[in-house]
Amino acid sequence: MSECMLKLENIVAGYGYGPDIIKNINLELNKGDIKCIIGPNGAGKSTVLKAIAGIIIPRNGTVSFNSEKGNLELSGMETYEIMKTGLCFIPQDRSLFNTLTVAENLAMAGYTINDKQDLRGRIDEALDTFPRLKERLTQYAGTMSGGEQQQLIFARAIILKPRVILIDEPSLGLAPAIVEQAFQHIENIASKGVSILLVEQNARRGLSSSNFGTVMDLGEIVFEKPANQVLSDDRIQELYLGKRKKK
Amino acid sequence: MFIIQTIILGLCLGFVYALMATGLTLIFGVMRIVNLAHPIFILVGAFAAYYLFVIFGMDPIFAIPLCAATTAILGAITYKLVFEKDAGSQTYSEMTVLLTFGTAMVLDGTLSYLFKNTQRITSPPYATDAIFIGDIFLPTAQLYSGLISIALIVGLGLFLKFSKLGIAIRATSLSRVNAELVGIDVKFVCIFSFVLGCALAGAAGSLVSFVFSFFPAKHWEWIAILMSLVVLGGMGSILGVVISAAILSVMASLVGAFIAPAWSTMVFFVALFVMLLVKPHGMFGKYLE
Repeated sequence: MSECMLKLENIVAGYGYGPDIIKNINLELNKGDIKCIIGPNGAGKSTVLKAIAGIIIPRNGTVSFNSEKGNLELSGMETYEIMKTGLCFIPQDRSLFNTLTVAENLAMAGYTINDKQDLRGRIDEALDTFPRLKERLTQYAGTMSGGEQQQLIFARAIILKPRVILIDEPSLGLAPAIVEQAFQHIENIASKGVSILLVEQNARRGLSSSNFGTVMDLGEIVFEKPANQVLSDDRIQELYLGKRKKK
Repeated sequence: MFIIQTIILGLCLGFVYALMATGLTLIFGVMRIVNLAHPIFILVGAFAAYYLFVIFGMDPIFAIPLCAATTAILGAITYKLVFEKDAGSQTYSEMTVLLTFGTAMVLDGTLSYLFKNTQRITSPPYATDAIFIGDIFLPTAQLYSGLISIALIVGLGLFLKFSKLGIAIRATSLSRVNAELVGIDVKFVCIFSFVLGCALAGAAGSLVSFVFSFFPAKHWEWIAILMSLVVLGGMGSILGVVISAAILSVMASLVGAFIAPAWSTMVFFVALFVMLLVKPHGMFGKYLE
């Protein structure tokens, strides 16, 4: 049994005073695993990630995170505090600061690191992994191409040396070749022992890079299987082709 | 020669206006607060400078840190009492128009009660002095206040450009959620920016105290000019405010010198009117979502 990094128990969450979007979510993420959450539109996939990151506060249940300093209960903490514990969230809209330069974006990624020497080293390390960014340091992040922005996002993520990365729709709005690169980056990062929880609309692509697949529908987890067995499951056909069992 | 003199004095005045407006644009940029109470904070700074001068004989230029500290403390208290509770609300900007209007009324009333609505001006020795360069006649009060204003704005610019907290302030003004996602304590950044904006108002107040005569209700006149500068520069843009203040003040001085002083204020409003028709998001502004 490998080490469990992130564990959700009975998580219930929704927006504002609205109804519950996700109900009784139980999920575990082990060290070095890539787990992909798939499901039709409106299944509550992104909401799960937002509830973990504290962008919305879970109405019920617990999120425990195996941080460097031992087990931490995340639900109820502010987002910026959660981001200090070694968990990193990459949202759909890419989360770059468009009118800050690449160098400033990288510096902000290390906002929580107080040791300047250490931060300098980490930024250099990230730039060695993504040499393209070295030539772009003084350019505004928003003026780079989609692929370069993608690199900046992953560079920012590895500066923090997180234990768990949550990624929402890495393929959204990107050209196919760049989607391939994004998944390459994800696999590389995971191979260093970082656990990744991924939400992906493009189920086939997402699962082919993952170890496990979790299928969601209507705010609940339908089933969970090793990634290569998910698509052959009968229930997938029902979800994506809209055939539902009669009640 | 007269034209050069008018332009230089216009520029000096422009820099003072720019300093008065930077706090306003900073507070809007980071927190989306439309701070109609900003000019009354400038007045609080001016009164602090006035009484420090009258009672202790303190030079208003050296009193800048004290005046800034006064308005910073007042700003922190106001923020805690009035603005903190609803931050994050969907209609926050709209709400703050009313909240800051109310705050301005309360502070205006308090100042009027304490100091009466009479005209005052701080008169350090250089306030009535002037420098002659050839035929050019430059009153030192305007010259000093303009130079100190631009120095303070450059200082602020360097802080925002290079310091870690400064970059965090700019990051927060771009996106609060994304700022939180890199671990920035957005609440702290907001309070800090508000207090910094108020401190700038106090610093401006100290300079204003020997350039303009002032009384508690003066701020209604200023808010119109300052808001037009902020909108012209692009809401939230400090560079925009400095450029629009410099250009418009020079134009206002020229109009004042060659047409009639009474028409000079009109320059700000005509410019505002034209800008809103042609480019509603201002010179350096972004479209707001």
